[in-house]
Amino acid sequence: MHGLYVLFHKSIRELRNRSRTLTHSRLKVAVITFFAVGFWFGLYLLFREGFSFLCNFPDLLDWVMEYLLSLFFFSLTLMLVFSNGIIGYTGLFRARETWFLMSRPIPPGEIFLYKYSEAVIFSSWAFLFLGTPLMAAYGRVQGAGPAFYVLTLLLFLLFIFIPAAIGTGMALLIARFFPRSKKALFLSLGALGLLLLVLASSKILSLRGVTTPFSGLWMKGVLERFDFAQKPYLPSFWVARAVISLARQPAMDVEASMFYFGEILAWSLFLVWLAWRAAERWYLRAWSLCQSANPKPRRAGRSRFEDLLYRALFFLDPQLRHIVGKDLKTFLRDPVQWSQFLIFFGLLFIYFLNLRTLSYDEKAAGWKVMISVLNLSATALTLSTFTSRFVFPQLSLEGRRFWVIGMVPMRRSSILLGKFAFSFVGSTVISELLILISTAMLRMPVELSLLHALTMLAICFGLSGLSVGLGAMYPSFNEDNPSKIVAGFGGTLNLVLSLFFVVLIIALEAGPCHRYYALGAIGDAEFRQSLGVSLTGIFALSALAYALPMALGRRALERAEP
Amino acid sequence: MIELDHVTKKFGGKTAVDDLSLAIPKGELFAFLGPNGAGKTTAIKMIAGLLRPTRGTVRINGADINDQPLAAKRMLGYVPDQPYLYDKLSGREFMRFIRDMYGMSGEALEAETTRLIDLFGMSGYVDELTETYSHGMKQRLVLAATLLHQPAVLVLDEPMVGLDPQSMRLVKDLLRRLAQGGITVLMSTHLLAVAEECADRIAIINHGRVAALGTPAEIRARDGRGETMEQFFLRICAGDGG
Repeated sequence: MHGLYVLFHKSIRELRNRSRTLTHSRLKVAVITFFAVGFWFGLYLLFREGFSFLCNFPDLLDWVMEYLLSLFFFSLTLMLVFSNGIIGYTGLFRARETWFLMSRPIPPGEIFLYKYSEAVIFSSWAFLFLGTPLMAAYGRVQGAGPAFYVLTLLLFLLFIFIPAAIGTGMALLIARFFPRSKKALFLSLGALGLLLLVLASSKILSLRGVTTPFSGLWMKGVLERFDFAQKPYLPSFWVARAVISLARQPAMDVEASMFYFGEILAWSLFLVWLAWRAAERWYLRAWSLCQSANPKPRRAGRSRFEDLLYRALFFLDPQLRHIVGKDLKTFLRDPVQWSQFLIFFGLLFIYFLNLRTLSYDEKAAGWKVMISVLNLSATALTLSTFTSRFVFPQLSLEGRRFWVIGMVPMRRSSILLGKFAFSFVGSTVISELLILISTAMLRMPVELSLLHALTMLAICFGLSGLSVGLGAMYPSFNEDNPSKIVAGFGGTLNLVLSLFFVVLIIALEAGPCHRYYALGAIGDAEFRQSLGVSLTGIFALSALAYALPMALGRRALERAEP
Repeated sequence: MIELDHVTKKFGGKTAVDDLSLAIPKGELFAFLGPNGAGKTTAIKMIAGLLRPTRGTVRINGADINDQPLAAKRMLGYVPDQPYLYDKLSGREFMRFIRDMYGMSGEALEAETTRLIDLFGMSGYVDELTETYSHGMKQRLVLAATLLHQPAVLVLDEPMVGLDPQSMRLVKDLLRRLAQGGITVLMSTHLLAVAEECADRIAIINHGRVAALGTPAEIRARDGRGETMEQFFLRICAGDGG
């Protein structure tokens, strides 16, 4: 394992050099730390409130907790398998570093383990970031001692190697045995996820008409339909059981904890060993096959969708429309981008279509308004992560190709407008469609549907302005990897500001609706009046979120020397 | 020495290298010449063990690059057309990393590192992070790092790209010295003058096949037309093999 040792040693040296350069930008570190800590505590408080609420039902607590934790870890395991599969595939077969390493006398199994460990770190930090506040809240509510927190963290650290080994191992096998169909990786993983989702949905759908939604019986029925997450051969189930055993009061259930700890440790070691052995046997061959596959040449023409978009952008100069067209083609021809888009918005789409199955449309007006506002929030928050992940880095990604559009006889600021138009039109089409489905399925009154549609429009406008403007203010022209661009200061600031923006807009809209429909605290006239004030505030905020970053971004771009 | 025995490489239905057989002995400086897409880089990647031939074998000093990859790679130094460096390592750290990878240590090696840094004129920037280097600086660093483990066979893909005239002179002289010292050197280049000036033998590759092979003088004199290397190259690549 000399090669692996040398590679890790190199990574530590890189990390040390990176942290030295970070000390030159203390503000950046401070802002990121502040928001990360704030976000962690926010999650902690949210989870603690949830667990405290469940404590009101002591008879059901253990039972519900077991289901909730099993389901939580089951979902996270699935996500970890997918993200490790994608990150692992990119690292093993697509990264430029791998070309370099492959030409050196390092055993393929050790290169695999190095890339595997990268995938573990890149894909599992979010699991720890989500899982630790959850466990801290659970421990707090259960009154667990300090050992609970230490052991749970250790448990998580052991556990993440299992989905990582499965995901990266699957990437290796797909590359070895399906080298000519690269999309097979994404399609098979996506199809598997979709299949599980359909199975889970169909189980809830079968409850329609059988019981009253949200009754005790309904709750029992729903939880029992998720018992697939309770299978004793699932690693997520072992984690859930281990956590429950560790938190057991008045004293920790040592025997059960040790059993599940041992099981997780044994399987982690076994699966990593198995993946390493598979890599020793197949990685070189798989790598060569991947580099040798000759994809069918694509004769690309303009699709109907592109034609539609060109028409929708009638208000732009033809030159700008071509820049937007280029961005659209890049997006549509990159499966990594559209597949994530499809997963995020596809989930919302399936959920919104099932609103009547849950009989939400038969609820009282107050409930329906609350659900529709929550749906609006979910769409807006999903959109904000999407604009942060894909729109923000767009200008940076022009990078070394900047001369192409930089030489076009037009002002650089116009390029920003093109990026904005692409983001605004694209996000509006998708988001408004979702809002339309949500309000239609809830049988909302026309005026409320219109209110949500207007709010969504303002959100799309503001989020696009923020992401494009900040993308121009904090560009990384030398970086080709969008994940790294997003992970920088500008990307983090954009995400945080986007979340704040969404929260403020939703609060402005939800306030009068809640007072009128749920509390009945105001009359018709006052409701209309406060709604007018809210809408004015929403559009003013949206205009500000567009104008300020775009103006600053425009100035930065005019001065930029890519 | 480098031996290619009936090597073919196909990408799907497209043949990039077609039944290539070559033997480059110890101490020879050999150049691949050819137009874009001729198959030079594919051949070099197979020699470096980065691509597996569809048919045929590649041997480095007798070791099959696919059956004994580690043994073959230990004897090999490879400089790709687009050098890869770690942005957050300094040039000196990168050289240490390369040394560590080949399991080398000791004071003599430290002295060799310093000698190479001086030879390639890198002492002014070798302790800065490589993210600040220009293409030429990166190319020099990669060349220096490749020589650290004193490879018996050196394979370079377009080593002159991005180098200034002084650096090009330095590299040309260095490659000649290395070949005279018994190292087998194979390079691909678009620059006819470089190949003509440095190489003991040249292979003109076109459509994945060897279109002409010999010393520069043999190639120029091959068809008895009194052509320059450029005229001969253009004629061969245009399909008029004479």
